[in-house]
Amino acid sequence: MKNVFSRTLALMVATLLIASSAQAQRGQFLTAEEFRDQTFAEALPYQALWISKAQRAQIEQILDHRFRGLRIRYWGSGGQTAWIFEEIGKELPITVGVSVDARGIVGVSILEYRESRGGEVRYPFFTSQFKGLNLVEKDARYKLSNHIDGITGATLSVMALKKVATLALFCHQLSPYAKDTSNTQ
Amino acid sequence: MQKTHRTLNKPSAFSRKLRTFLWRWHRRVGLTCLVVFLSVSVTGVLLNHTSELALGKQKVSSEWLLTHYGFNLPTITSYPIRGHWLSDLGGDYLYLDSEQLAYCQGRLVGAVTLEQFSVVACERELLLLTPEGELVEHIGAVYGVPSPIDALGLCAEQLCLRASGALYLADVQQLQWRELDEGVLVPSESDELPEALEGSLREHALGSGLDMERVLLDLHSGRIFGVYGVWLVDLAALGLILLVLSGFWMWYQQARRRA
Repeated sequence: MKNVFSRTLALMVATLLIASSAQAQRGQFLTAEEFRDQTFAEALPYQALWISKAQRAQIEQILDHRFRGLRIRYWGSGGQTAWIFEEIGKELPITVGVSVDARGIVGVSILEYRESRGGEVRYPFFTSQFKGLNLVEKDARYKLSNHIDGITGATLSVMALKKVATLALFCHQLSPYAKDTSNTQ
Repeated sequence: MQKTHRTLNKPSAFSRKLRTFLWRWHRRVGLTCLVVFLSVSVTGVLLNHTSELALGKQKVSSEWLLTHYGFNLPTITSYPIRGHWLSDLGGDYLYLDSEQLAYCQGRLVGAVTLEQFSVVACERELLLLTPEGELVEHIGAVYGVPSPIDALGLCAEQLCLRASGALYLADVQQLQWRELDEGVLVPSESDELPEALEGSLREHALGSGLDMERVLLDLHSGRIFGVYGVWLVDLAALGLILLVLSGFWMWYQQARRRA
């Protein structure tokens, strides 16, 4: 009887631990304004990047799925831009903020993670890999200039982040701020 | 000799009683199963000519039948914008006239036509459309849109939305949402779709839907009335066997007497 009781208790504790771990992965970690304030010293207004048909085709090639919309919002100042994209990992969208300057990616932040697993992608040990990466064109496809180490159990989230980082670099080069290299001196 | 012959052909008392019994039950079974026989015969003939009559391509539009088959009939909400119709069929996507337009989070709650854009509100995001109806962008919760939105319209000629009981002036260019202490919202009003477009959207929402061949097959087998319908057709089939056997026996007895 005592044995059955202790087993049941252990099972309940294990279930609670698993459930709380899944809950811990999800959450909103930054608002758009907080991400902007982390990137820029001043409260910049939104800019809009208008997308041509040819550019849309390239965006769809980067994302590997259809992209609907004619413009993308961002913030820009002194050769640096900051973008927010939503990309589906496994089933739900991950909201990601990416800041870019002439040297490449400045930072990647997860604003909101909604899946129950794979939330490790928000930690600096993973996001710091993107710092300084650039856009390269290989076999007629845009890619990141360096390899990103994956995370076991978060493969789809990692893929989503790589797509978003590539897209941010692509959009940065289309923006007027790409020509401004003042902040890299 | 003639007398002997007549004696031989005269039915016995048992035979007469059986004949009366069979006649009575032949009539009763025939009348009882009349409706089922007619239904099975007519549907059988029609099903024999499924290809010629293209029954598989004829979609059923009867609401009663569709509900009976468990189809969720879409509740269509529509707003007129710049000579087009924007509709929510109760799913995840909005439709501009009969074309799928874009994913929109939550049900459609309003659409307002401005000079440069049309602004569409679902419960958890706004969509901007060009005057031609092309999607410009999604403006979701990440941009601070108050939600759930329950109405979109104008407050003193300015774009305005209502969310959780509060009114907000909406600047969709700078993505700013200023709460109003007081104001009157004139909400955009939904309207009824033209009949042809509504029919086309309903058909689209029902997907492959229900065809006439399926209905006739189920009517033929009785399955359209569930398990009891199948049992009813089974009983009618037994009745038909009884009719055939009793009919044959009565014909045979009469033919033997005449011989």
